[in-house]
Formats: sequence, structure tokens, C-alpha cells
Amino acid sequence: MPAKKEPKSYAEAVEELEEIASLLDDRNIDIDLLSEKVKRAHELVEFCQKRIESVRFEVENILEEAQ
Amino acid sequence: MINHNKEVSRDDLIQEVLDFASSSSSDLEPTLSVSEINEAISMAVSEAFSEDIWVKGEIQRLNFHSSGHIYFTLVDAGKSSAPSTIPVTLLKWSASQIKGDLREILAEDREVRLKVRPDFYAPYGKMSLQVSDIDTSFTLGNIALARRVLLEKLEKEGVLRDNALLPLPQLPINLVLITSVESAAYHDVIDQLRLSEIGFNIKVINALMQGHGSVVSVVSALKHSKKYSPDVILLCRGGGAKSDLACFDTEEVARAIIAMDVPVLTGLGHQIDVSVADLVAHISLKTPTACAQFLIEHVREATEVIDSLAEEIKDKTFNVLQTKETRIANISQRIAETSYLLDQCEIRLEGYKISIKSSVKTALARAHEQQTFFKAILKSSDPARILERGFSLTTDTTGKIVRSVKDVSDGDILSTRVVDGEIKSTVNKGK
Repeated sequence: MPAKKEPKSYAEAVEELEEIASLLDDRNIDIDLLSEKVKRAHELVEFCQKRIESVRFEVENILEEAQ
Repeated sequence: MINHNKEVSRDDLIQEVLDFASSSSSDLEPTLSVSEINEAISMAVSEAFSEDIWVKGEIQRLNFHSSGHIYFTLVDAGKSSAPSTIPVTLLKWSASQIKGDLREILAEDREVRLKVRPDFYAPYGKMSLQVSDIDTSFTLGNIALARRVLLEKLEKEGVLRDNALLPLPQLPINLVLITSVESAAYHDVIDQLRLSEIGFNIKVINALMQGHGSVVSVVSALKHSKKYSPDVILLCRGGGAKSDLACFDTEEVARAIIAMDVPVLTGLGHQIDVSVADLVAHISLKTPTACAQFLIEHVREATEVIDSLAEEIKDKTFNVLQTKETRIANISQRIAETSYLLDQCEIRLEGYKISIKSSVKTALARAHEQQTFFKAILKSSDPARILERGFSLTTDTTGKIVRSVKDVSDGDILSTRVVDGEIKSTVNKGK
């Protein structure tokens, strides 16, 4: 399977992550899909964490500049 | 007060004049010197006005002289074309006897009621009125009346609160200060604003804040201030208790304030009265210092609000980020639980294995049973068993089983298999 493209936004990434998590909660997931989904989930988690970190960094910078 | 060059009675003076006339050439009419005529007038005046009398009129060319004396011209009120005028003098000592703030009572163009003694000053031949008292209640009443009339007029037009209704900017930093430069008011405002260490941007417009010309000066300063696009205009004048508010009671100044599109703050340095300017201004404060302090306080309050909002935004932003992070961590955790899913699959597979194993076992067992059964059947049909029971099997030399007499001929060699061996024999049909 080709790697999925980068999510357009944080919200889109979280939505997809929730979908994957629900799919996994189901327990009846097709085992052939499992590794693919987990891999995608990790990509999305990494994307979200990076986004949060960059926003936090930006906010701190803005607040520092404002003082 | 009557001035005399020398102490002479009126009769003496007349006698002197007559003597002079008789001693001169008979064809000349009696002739007086300037001093004599002045003296004569002076005496006539003082005789005609033996007591002080009340007079009223409008003040013009008011001059508070540095000597402490006050000079002005009194004219008939409301008579603009060729009015009668007379100079008025209020000597320092008389002024000190009058109750009330003379700088507040006496003002340009103001109608006053004065107790005066007409006086002819002989040396200069100058007629004037010497003030001994002022009807302050008349003057103050007039001021109050004029104020009320103007206020009612502005109210009726619906413009009285125009400036007051303008919103005061949250951060009034760009200021125009209209005052008399280098006055106490100027220094009070500038010093206070500088001490606050708030970065006020102050433009100062110099204006005459009292006396003749002040109305034009203040109105022009207000108009001029527009080019600086200030957040707020400060109209300040010092002077403590001694104040002349006439300028700030005029319609011109009131309308100029009303016409401003930014709030005007007044600090006119008066203690008791409130001028029309104060009433049409956005906010009126007693002193220039109070004006500056009000602004400083206002900016500080706004800054505090902004600071606390900034703090709130910061906290909320980090809370949002924290929540997001927790959510991602939770999802991550759920994803990580996939190994459990794999375990489940393994368990299921193990189940399949066991079930397959048991099925195979059963199948094998069944097969074994079948085998035994067939074995038994086979066993029972085994030729050896038959031989044991006494039967034998005869074949010809080709190995073909001999089933009938017809299968053999005399002389054929047959092989007969019995339970314990083989018997060779030769056929003899023996017919």
C-alpha cells in the first residue's frame, strides 16, 4: 500500500486517529489491515505531537515578545 | 479721593479768580490757568458727589496691575455703537476690603454693579470712578444667570453632552495639552505625566487662558489640536483659588469643545464654581494635576485589564494544548493496545489448533476402527485360514487356480497348497 499523504490539518489528523482507534476497539478488524492502520496511527500521532509542540513554541515566543 | 495741589476752599478759589480778573486788563474776561480750572472742576465734582453712589456697566480693558491696583473701563451694557465709557480705578487697599475673589468676579465684558465716587484727578484733568465696593451677588448672579441661559440653550439644541458622550479611549496616549506654556498648570501636567513613566505622546498648544483675547486663543487652540489627531485633549489652567473663569463661560469656548470629536478634559484650577466649559467637557477635574492623574490612572487600569487578559489567554492556550496532548496520548495508548488484539488473534488461533487436533484425533480413531474392522474381515477371508480349516488351493503350472475338472488333463502337473506346504501331483482322470 502507498503511504497516505500528510494530513491537511491537526483536526483532520485527530479525526482520522479517532477512526483508527474506533476500528481497533472493534476487535474484529481485518488482521491484514492491522499493521497498516497502526503504522498510519503512529504517523498521525507524530504529526499531532509536532503540531502541538510547534504551537506551544510559537505561543511562548509571542508571549515573551509581548512582555 | 480728591487730589489738591494746595488746600484751598471753594470760596477762596472763586475770590482768587475774581481778584485775578479785576487786576487784569479791564477788557479781558477773567481767565484761569489749567490747574485752576482743573481744581475748580475737581472741587465741583467732589461737591456734587459727596457720597458714594452705585453704578452698573460692563467691564472692558480690565487690567490687574502688578502694583495691586485694578484698572478697567466701564461701559453701558448692550450698547455696542458709541457707548458711554468711563475709566474705573480700584485701589489695592479698597480691593482688599472686598469679599470674594476679584479675579473671578471681575472679567472682561462682564456686567458689574459698583459703589463708586466720581473723581476728577486735577493734575491730568482725568475723570474716573473710584471703587469702594462691589455688589458681588449682583455680579455672581449675573454670571450664574448667563451660565444658566447658555446651558439651557445648549441643552435645547441637544449638544450639551456631545463631548461627554464620546467614548474615552482605553489607552489615551496621544495627548494635546492646551495651556499657557511655562505656567504652573503646564508644569503640573507635564511633570505628572512624565513621572508616571507611561509613554504619553504630548503635544502642547500654547494659549492665553484668561483675560482679553483668551476666548479667541482657546477656541483657535482647540481647532488647531485636530491636526494632531489626539486621543484626548487636556484644557488646563492653573492659578489655584484666584481664577478668572469668564473665558470658559463663553458660548464660543463651549461650542468649540462641543465640536471636538475627541474627549476634552478640563482642569481649570478653580475650587468653587464650575464653568460652562467644565459642563460641556467630557470630564471636568479641579486641577491640571488631577487631570494628569486621572489619565495616568485610566491608562494603568486599561494596562492591568490587558495584562490580566494576556495572562488568561496564556493559561487558556496552554490548557488547550495540554488537553490536545492528553487526547493524542490517549489515542496513542489505544493504538498501542493493538498488541492485545494480536494476542487475541493468537488465542483464537490456538483454539483453532486445539480443535483441529481433536478433530484429527477423532478422524484417526474412526479410521483405525474401520481398519480393524476391515482387517478382521480380511483376516476371515485369508486363504491361509481356509487352508487351516482343511481346504486347499490347487493351481496349474501357470499358477492358474484349478476350479473345475475341465481345467485339467491327464498328465498335467498340479500344485496343491495346503496349510503346511505344497503337494505336487500328476492328473490321472481315471476314467
